[in-house]
Amino acid sequence: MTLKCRLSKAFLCILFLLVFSINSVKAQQTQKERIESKWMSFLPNIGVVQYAGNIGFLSAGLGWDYGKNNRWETHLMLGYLPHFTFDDDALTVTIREQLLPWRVNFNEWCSLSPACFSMSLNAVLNNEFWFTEPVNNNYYRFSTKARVHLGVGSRLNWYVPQEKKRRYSRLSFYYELSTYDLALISYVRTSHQPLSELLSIGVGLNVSIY
Amino acid sequence: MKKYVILFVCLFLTTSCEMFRYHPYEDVEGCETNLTCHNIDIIQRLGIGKDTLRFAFISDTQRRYDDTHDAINFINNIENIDFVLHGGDMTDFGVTFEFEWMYEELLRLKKPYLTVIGNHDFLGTGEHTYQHVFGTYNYSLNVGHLHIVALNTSSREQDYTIHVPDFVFLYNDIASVDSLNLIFPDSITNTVILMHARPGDEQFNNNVALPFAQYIHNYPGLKTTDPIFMQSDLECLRHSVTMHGIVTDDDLKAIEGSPMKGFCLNGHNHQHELFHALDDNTLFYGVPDIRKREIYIFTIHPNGYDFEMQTF
Repeated sequence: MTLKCRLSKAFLCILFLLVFSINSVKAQQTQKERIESKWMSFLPNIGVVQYAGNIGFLSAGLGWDYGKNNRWETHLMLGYLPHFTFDDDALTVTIREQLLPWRVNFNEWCSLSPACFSMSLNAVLNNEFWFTEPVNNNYYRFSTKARVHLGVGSRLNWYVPQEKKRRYSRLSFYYELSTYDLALISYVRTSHQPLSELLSIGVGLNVSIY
Repeated sequence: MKKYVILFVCLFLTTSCEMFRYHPYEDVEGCETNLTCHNIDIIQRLGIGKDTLRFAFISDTQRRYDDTHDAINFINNIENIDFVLHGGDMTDFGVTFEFEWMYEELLRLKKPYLTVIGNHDFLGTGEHTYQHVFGTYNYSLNVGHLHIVALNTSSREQDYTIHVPDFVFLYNDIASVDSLNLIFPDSITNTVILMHARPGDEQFNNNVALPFAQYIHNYPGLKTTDPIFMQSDLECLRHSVTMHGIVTDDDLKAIEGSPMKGFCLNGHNHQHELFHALDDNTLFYGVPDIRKREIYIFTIHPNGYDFEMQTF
């Protein structure tokens, strides 16, 4: 079993433990309290932690939800890449826009968002990478630094009753299957390679903070 | 509720561990390492005691996996091929999966192959991935009486700040070939220099084109004082070239204007060009990219070489 495989499984175990510890609390569903002040609504109200998904080994960040039934979310994340250039570690920055059009409510404390669509812009913070080529910006007509990712996934939500006085009102476990611009361009001209080699899965936790 | 949760878990479990990817430019997995060193060893051993060597030359296979797949099938069916040379640009963006895919394609070759780094292979973490999978940028080997030199010539990718082409490497390599020929006279008679970008290209450091020419003229078969082709050998070469009826009159003139046993191979320009890139009679065989579905085949013998261009 490779190191990556072991890390993936360890991370999943931690996620499931976290999620089911919340599940064991027979909580009553409460609607998330909207913050009265308009200015306060600009403060991020979501915390995200993600493992893998082509945006870093581990990424964490903050976000905002808005729109009807909070269907739209914007995440701003910082990712960590160990041994990126075989010697040095690197950081990445990701901005992600997510749409959750449907939600299936099972009961007052649990629901499923069966399809989440997302589009992200990821940039790696490393001097060897560029947005536009530093010497002659017409030779390579793409950026090595910035990648556009498209993803689809699902999310399982647990709602924490207000009386539990936790710092979060919703805890969600999600996975996201994604690909990116250069992979799609390359896939057009091959019939011998499986599409799965261009897909990446990311798993994570998304919490809604009071 | 149960069925939704089961569906959610099932969908998630269908993904494999390999799909947990950290970044498009993350380090490569599942490829051999130091492949060049490994293949040099194989090629050197197969050249022992051989007078005639035959090899295929391809280049610029980036993002053309289907064409590369067909080219490899074609090469596998050519008789008497001893090894294959790849002139660089295996990837277009230097992304890790491109290296992995090209590695998997080249793994299908029945014969050993050698590569040289191209300018596109440098992008992102590509240069580290190339070093990890293939090894050093500059290397040389003796196969029978043939000396092969592989050089990184993509100066522009390193902002002209690193010694590309590496004259220290060339100096030491020429000295080692001279020493070998001094101890065992005429053990090396031909030289092939493999590079991605040739002198005159924007990738090459053209400021050093003249010293580069002076250096490579010290290799056996590329020396201006070397015995030139016998007329009969030149006739043979002309015959092998014209047999397929693809080359032009200009190509023939270029070949006839270079009666040397050694020559240079390059890719990068994505087009067929037989060219005296150094304004002397050193001949550069520029192979088109794999999309044009043409490969070059060289047969090296002690008196010279034969050149064929084959389409697939």
